Amino acid sequence: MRALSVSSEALDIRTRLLLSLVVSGVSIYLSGTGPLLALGAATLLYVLASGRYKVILVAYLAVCAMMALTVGVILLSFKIGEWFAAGTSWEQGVAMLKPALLGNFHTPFLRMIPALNVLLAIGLDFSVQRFVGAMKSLHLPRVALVPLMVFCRFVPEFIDVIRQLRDAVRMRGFSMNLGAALIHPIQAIRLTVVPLTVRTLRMADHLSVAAEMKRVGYAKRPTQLLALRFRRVDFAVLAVAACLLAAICAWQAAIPATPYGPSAMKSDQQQEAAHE
Amino acid sequence: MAEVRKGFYWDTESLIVVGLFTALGKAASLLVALLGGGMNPVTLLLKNGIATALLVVMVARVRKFGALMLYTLVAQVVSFLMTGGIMVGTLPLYLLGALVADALIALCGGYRKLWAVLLGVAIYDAFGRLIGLAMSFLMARENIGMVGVGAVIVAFGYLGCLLVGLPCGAKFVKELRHAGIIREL
Amino acid sequence: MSEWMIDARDVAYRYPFTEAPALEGISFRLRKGEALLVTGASGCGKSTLLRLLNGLIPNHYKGTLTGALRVAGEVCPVPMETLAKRVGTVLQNPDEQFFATTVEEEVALTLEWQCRPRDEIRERVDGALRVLDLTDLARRSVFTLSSGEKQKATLAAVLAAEADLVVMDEPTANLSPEATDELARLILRLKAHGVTLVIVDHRLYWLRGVLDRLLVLERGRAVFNAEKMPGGEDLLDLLAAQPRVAEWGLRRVDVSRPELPACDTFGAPAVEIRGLTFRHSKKSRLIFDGFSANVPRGAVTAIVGANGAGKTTLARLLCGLAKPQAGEILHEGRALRRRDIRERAAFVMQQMDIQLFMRTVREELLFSAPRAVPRAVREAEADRLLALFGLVHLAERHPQSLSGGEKQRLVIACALMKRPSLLILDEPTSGLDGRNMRVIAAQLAQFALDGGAALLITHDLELLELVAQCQLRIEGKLQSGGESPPVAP
Repeated sequence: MRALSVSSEALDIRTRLLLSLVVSGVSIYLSGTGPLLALGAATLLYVLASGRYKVILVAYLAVCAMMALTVGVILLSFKIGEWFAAGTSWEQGVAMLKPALLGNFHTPFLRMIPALNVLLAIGLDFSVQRFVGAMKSLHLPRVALVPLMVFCRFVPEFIDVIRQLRDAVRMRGFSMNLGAALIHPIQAIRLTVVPLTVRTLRMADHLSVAAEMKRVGYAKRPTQLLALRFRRVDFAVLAVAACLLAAICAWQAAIPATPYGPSAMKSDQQQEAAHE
Repeated sequence: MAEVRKGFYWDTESLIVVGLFTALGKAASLLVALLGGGMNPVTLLLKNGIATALLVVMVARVRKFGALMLYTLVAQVVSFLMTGGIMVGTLPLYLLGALVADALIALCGGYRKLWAVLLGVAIYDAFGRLIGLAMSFLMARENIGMVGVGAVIVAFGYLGCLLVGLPCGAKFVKELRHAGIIREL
Repeated sequence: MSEWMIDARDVAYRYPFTEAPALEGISFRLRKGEALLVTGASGCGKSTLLRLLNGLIPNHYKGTLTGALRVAGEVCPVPMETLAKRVGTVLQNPDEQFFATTVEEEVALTLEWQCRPRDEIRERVDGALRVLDLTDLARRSVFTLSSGEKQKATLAAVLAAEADLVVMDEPTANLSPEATDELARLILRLKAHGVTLVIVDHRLYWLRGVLDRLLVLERGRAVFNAEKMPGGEDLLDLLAAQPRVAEWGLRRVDVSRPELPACDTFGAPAVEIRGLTFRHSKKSRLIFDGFSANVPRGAVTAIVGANGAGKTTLARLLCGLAKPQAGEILHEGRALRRRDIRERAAFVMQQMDIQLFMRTVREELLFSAPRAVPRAVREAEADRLLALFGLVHLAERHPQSLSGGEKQRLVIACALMKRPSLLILDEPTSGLDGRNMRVIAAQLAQFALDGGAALLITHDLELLELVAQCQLRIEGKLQSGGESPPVAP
């Protein structure tokens, strides 16, 4: 399946970024269940093409867990509110707000799905090389290019430094975990921030010397030896995506607008009461 | 022929410092998330505290008008390139927040005054959080309760910035100046 | 045009806000295709001389320069952009010099920022990679290169940018003996291509037969300044014959790989490793598969093995920083919990900045002692170690403001504050001068004499010759295929 995937090597990273940008924008505009479901399904197919089903499933489960947690927190806060406000006018306020606040959960959830899918499509394909390729192909000016080059080069380095720091701290009889942070929060920060900032500032000194000698950052826009190029498949995918998104937006536009928030919920309730 | 120029406002050294601190920030947040997950109050406080402390040190090292704007630009482009998404559309808003914070630092006596830097970072952080909250409102506008939960998390994060990040940042800047790692004047 | 690539006459230089000059009365000349070594104890001014030659002074570091200095035909001071086209620099740690993430991109970098046409860049990059036998590694990530390969990639970048003068700052500090030998051969090849080289290094032995001029600095002045005569004695032998050479804090000119007995039979074991099996994660390769060995008490044991064989991993396992998947590690005959092992063992890692946390040197030492030890005892022990490592006058200084040698002494002193039964040091003397190296060697020998078990991971042959008594050999596969023979101390 990986061999057939659109993901691995076929698509230019700029295509993915553009898709991600447009899809998340459109998902914010959409509010109807139908259009959101359609967008969710289309983007799910797009991310499934990567063949990384297990990771996708885990990401979906994580989003579900987050939603459940949010619902749980809201319910709990109302329960606490009721305990405190029992027998007062506050209770009436809570009773009035409760349906509104506990109401429409599915729309935000559905809106999150397309954004999650396009994010996964980029994340599953992520590598430092791809990041560098994307950065170079955007033809950024030096103020953005130099820090981004440094960023790509040093994130893996810092992850390694942090691992070593963890060892150094443990050898001094301390731990870098939640318990230690709870017992000695200030010390936990000192043990992490001081060595890391010193290391970073020293690296900055060495790198700026190296940059001066290599002339890195001393031209407005450097030549790019290896720049990415768009291919047919990119244009094809973008064209299909444009058609689909236009159709979904048109569908949304055809649905009568509904207000949202407590007032909407209140009017829904009134309508239901009228029916009864 | 080479388009070599002298006298860029942003010297390469400052650009390198910003790039390194962005990388460190990403690596550190990854570390904190691995240590204790992202959703418990202690990790939330610690993560935001460390991020703010690092930001204070970075601004004190760069010491130039626009330091926060440059950091914002780089951090936002990084998250766009890593994860895509609509957040890059809010870049102008973030830059505006950074501009206000930078201007405040400049008005309060400049980047050599530690308290001005602290004030600027506090305002910058508040702006960033408000924009994030506005985005979560757009995503979950049909359910105010969900936005409310987001607001609580954001408020807690900001508490980490104010109570942990700024005092620690100030302390470390003083110490690094004493050690000669950050210039005093 | 002058035949001299470098022509220095009575050069003196002083950094801003300092009274003593960093360099004074320096005169020497170097022809195209020659190699010069600048050496001397820490703080002697050799880095300053290097900065003068590559233009960092006065372009990056300000100060007052007097005397006459011509580099590559240009009268100094010269704008950096002019000098950068002729002079290339290789810094001590390539990791702090790389901006790109692949070899090819790194080699192309300077040319890209000089805005050269793409075709020209391609041609030059391919040429430089060919000269240094790096063509196969062109697309390799810099994160997977060995130290030797990184050094070669840096040199390729310098050559691609058409530098005809190459200055190298401590080029062997992070190299294995094999990679060091290869660098010496490479320097001879570059000389034959007409490249002039200035090498600043503490290690001397590897440059036998390579040098045309040797300059020894002491407190900014040249105390030995000699040129190789055709058919004359090697400059290193001339240096060794100097009556005051012992006072200059240099390393030895002749070093050989010591023949060490296996540690298993050396004495009573302090640590016993039985059937150790370890891999970093389920998907990664097996580093140890049923590995067994004994670490003797009262001796300094060198951990020997190829690059990537797992020397540092073994150190982490022995210290209780990593957990083996199978097998056991017995400390004094007992299987301990990892937390208890960490209390008895001390591990001095290569990277010093991340092992210093406190505001003063004294606080750092006190912080390193186990918290169960009473304050008064800790204070007394800290005072003893401050004196032993020559750090008394630095007790109130911020640890991060110390020099490399001072920091290295401090982290070892911190390790000894724990009064460990097992002490492991990972490259404790890289980049250190002879004087600092001998201080560390003496303390290590004393630790073993007092009955401790010391383990040493090092590429420093001179340190091994001085203190190592036996070896623990790890057979492993080369991880990144760069450095030739598979066994390296």
